[in-house]
Amino acid sequence: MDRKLAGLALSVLLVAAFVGGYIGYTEMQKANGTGPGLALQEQENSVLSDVQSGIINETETIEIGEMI
Amino acid sequence: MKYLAIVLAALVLISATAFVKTVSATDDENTTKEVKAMAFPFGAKMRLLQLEKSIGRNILVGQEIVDNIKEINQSYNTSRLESLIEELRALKHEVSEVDPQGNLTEAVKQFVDLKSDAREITKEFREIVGEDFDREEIGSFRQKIGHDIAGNLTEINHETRDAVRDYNAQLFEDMLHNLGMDNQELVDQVRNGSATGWLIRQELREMLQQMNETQRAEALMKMDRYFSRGYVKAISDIDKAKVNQEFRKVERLEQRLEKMQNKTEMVHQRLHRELERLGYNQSYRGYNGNGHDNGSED
Repeated sequence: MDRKLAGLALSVLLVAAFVGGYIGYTEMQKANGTGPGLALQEQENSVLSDVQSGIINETETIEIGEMI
Repeated sequence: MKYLAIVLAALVLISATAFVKTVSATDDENTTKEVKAMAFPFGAKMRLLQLEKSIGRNILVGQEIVDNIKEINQSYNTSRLESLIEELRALKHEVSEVDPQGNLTEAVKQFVDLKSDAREITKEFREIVGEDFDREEIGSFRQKIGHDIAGNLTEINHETRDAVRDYNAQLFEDMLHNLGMDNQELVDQVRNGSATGWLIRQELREMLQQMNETQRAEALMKMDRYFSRGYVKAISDIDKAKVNQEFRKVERLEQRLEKMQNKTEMVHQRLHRELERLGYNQSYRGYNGNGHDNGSED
């Protein structure tokens, strides 16, 4: 019985350590600005900036200089 | 003292070179930015139309300056300025003949060449006016132009604005189509100018938020490819346009000269026919009002 309990406790500990480790790892990645979720977020920001700059300002003209 | 003068002269030379380099780098940056939109046929159409409008604007302003000069100084010979305006007219026609639906690299090459010609002609006009008239006179030209042709300039500005709006709408619609998405309401808002770049960004963000992570990653990759294609193409097309630029310029100027000579010849022939119809002979001196030569010896 004690051995079973000890085994269960060890399993819970291992799972907790794994979950804790995973959370710690992703948090560290967030702090470093890396990781898959953040990479996607960064890509989204970068692509949306490209979209925004691809939209041309309607007052923009082709500059060939003034006559005077 | 002599050394000081040499050092000063060298400094002036270095500053001037740096200034010229900066101006030319800015020109290059502007042209790259302009050409970026030409990666798409609707972008090429818009940029060529914008160039045509810019040249049209300078023709209008140039003609107004010449008219003002004739008013204030009748003895001034305006033929050099008028010939530059005529050259701008020929250039405007050449821009209108470029096919934006055909080979886009060729369209970029022609855009870069014709824009460069327009800049040179405009600069020459500005320099002649700057040399022959003082600041006060130029200031009064500016005031009169602002007053006399404001309506025409507004019309040109509106046409250019509409071309840009149409391009923005087509770009956005094309990009959505590329992603397998649709938002006609927003496309219409872009076309009538009520949607800003920021609003488009926000709307797209919301659309992306509704996707799962895999779909979002795929959509972002497609959008990235769509825009970077334009940038990469712009760089490559500008590089191609730089090759043989001088040679193409010679060819272009020869063709323009030939066209202008043909045009002058046609005007010459038409005036001759008109004079003959009115009863003048070729030298103008022998008119008798009935089509008979009056210049006889009797």
